[in-house]
Amino acid sequence: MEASLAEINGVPGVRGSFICDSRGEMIVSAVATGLDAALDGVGREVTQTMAALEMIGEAKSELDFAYSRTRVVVHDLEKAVLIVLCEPKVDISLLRLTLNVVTTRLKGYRDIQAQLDAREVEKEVLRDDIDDMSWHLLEALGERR
Amino acid sequence: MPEALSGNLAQLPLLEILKLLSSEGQTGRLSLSNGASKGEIFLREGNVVHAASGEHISEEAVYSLMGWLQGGFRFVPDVGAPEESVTTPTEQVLLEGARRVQQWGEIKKVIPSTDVVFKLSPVGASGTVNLEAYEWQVVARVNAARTVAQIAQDLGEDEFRVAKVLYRLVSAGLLEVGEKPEAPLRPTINGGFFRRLDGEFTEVMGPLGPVIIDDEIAALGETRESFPRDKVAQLIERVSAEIQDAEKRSRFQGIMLEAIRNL
Repeated sequence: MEASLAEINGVPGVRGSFICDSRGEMIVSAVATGLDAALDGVGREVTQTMAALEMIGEAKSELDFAYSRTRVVVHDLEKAVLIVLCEPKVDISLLRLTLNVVTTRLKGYRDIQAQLDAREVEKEVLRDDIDDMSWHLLEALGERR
Repeated sequence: MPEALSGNLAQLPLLEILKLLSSEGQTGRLSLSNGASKGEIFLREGNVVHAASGEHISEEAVYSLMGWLQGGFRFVPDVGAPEESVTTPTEQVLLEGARRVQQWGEIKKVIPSTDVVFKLSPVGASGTVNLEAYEWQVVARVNAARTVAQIAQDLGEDEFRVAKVLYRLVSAGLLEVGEKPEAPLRPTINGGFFRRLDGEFTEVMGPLGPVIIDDEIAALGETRESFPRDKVAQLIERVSAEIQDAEKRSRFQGIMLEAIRNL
């Protein structure tokens, strides 16, 4: 997995990448050291967003968060999530091509799939992380589907 | 009707595809792709029952998709719609679509491509011109450098709606077509890369491969002779979106990614 992350990091404008489980906990990282705690927060936010979208019937295999100084590109690996941190002006087409090629390859490696299987946790919105109004809104949207 | 109908919108426009599917009473899903943009139209017994494209849903999604001049399409029969968002009778949707396509024809006399830029007219209108709030949002983005496509992207709107506003403002004398600022010389890619691309893509798509590549190059507003290197990944992404088989698409992308790295 480290080699795959290194390949992604080779795309100009990519600052780092990491893979976390469906609850946002880090599995493997290729980001500058010292940022682990911050990355756990990013992983948790991203996986909760994906779970919420799934709950309302709008599941996405890719997400792209554009901020003024950073762009966060997320690719669903089914049993885990790949998160890429980039500069806002990254060549997004080149990055998407690289992600498609790398993740297709990852799916073919049995040892990597076994590692991800071992870390697989159910995707769900954690009730304690969300205020009552948002939770009721999500439930209502989910029931409409 | 073959089991699955597919092709390029440059050869068969969406309006014609819908007329064909409707007249044959088809049921199924029509998927459209134009680079990274996607859209879907569902038919049941020849009637359009649901459509979605980006932010648009229902009839507006159909009209928005009719504004695409390039891109691929694929119709898969017997796929049910996830919901029924289109309430207008299909005949009316097609009539309105035809009207908009005709309008596009008029607009194109002033705006031949979405690559055109505009500037404020120094003379101005001869009479009073009232602007809607949305039209003002378009005017506020006109700066002799932003293209029609960029303004549409900035506003999150389809190009047809923005082009229609610009056309009206030009006709009213408020705007005029500007000269696009001279772009700094950018590195371009060589013929060897295109020979490789033609070869690999033809292997997957057959003899129409180079035609589809030419359509996508034109859609990016470029030519083979001076294709900028910083758009090459975008071209490969658009071209590979035409490959329906996921395994073949991924293999093609892997080969071309390697070719990009060796440029």
